[in-house]
Amino acid sequence: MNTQILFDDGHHRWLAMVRDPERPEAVIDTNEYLIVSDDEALLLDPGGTEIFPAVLREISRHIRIEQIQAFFASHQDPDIFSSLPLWLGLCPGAKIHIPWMWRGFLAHYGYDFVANFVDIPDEGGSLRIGNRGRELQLVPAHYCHSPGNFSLYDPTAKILFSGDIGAALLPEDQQGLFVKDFEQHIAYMRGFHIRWMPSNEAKNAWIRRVRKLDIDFLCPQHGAIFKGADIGRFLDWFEQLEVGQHKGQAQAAV
Amino acid sequence: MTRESERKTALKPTTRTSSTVPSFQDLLRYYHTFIGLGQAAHQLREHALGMDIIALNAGITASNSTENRQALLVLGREAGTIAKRVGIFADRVLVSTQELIQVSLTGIMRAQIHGHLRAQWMDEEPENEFVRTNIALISAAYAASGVRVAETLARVAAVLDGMNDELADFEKQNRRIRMIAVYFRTEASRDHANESFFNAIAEQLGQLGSDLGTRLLEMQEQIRVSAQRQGALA
Repeated sequence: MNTQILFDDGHHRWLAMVRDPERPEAVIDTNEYLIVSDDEALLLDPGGTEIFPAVLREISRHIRIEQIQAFFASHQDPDIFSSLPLWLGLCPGAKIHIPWMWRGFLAHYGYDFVANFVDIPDEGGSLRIGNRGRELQLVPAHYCHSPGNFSLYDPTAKILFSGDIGAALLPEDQQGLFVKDFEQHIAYMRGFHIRWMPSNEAKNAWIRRVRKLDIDFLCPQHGAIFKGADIGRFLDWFEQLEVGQHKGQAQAAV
Repeated sequence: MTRESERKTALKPTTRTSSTVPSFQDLLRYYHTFIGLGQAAHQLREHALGMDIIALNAGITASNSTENRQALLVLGREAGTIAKRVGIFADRVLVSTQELIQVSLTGIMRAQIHGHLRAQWMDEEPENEFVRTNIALISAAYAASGVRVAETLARVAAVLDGMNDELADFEKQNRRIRMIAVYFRTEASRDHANESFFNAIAEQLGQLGSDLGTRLLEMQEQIRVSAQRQGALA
């Protein structure tokens, strides 16, 4: 698994763990992001059981596992957090921030840990991390694609974790961390967004919220990261896209 | 030592310590045994439902029958009782096996990951302080997981031990149902007005009784095997 540091001011770091070469072919590629602030860490969309060993091994190179104080699940899918009982076996006291509506469903991954669940209300909110209490904003992203869905924005690092928004299925020869050629990249994400995002209204509401944020990196859970001018290009492209369509030619599931 | 006394010995609950953490292979075997036990319990529930339907049919037919009214009422009562008891029994087994399946599956995953990561890390980064600390943490978590599996096994083995007496009782009741089936087959040849009903109910009873007996035997075997494995680790 390839780990890249997206931001580091000496106290506050963002690590992106991407493109696991040992991932079984049948398992969709995912990106995991770790925020380390002072002596505390938060893992975003930790991933499924199949990739747990690779993620754990990678994180173990950078922090003590005990530093993980919390997890954030953008929504309920198995590639987001089916590894829940494995992580909680190592971090039994960690909080798990989840959209409130998925509490009963995520409990299927391990009912022993429901006491760790912290419901995120529909309107979102914020978290604090580290000794300095750095703020992380929970931005509503409902119906993008899940009916209970959140993005996470870090004003310190100017990074937006967008979950499945901006996700792409990359071909073997396009495995870079960042989007290189936006026009070419559209082909890797168009089908997914048309099929999986069900509501133009919800999608545009998310875009309006996100346009107000100062973003250096827009980080999806699958595929390449957007930075600089490509963030605006992505938002413009997404805004004009008619989603919620099925014409029998949608790309594979993300 | 008879098979019965062997079974009782094997089913004796044991107290565990952290030195008796099951191995990865043990966990895998438990998991498969518990899956089998859960499947047998599901089939028992289906049989309970079949018996319940026979009980209802017998009650309805009894109200229209003069000659065999009493026999049909007895059949309805017997079938209803066994349906209820088998259903409750199957539910109890299902609750126990569900817990065991979950605990052993988590244990399997942790054991596998522990072994995998430890082997890799030892070779790759022996000098990394984070890695050394994390290996210790993961080893402790795996050991705790194994202890939990062992404790759950000991507790469930005690519950299953009590269930063996019930299984023996079900076998007796099952024999009574087969006798009722024989009665209705005889009655079918005599009472031409209700011949088709008696034949159908005799066939159903015979089939259900036979299947139920098979499932009960299978379940006893599964319980015996899992308890012996648990006993062997003690």
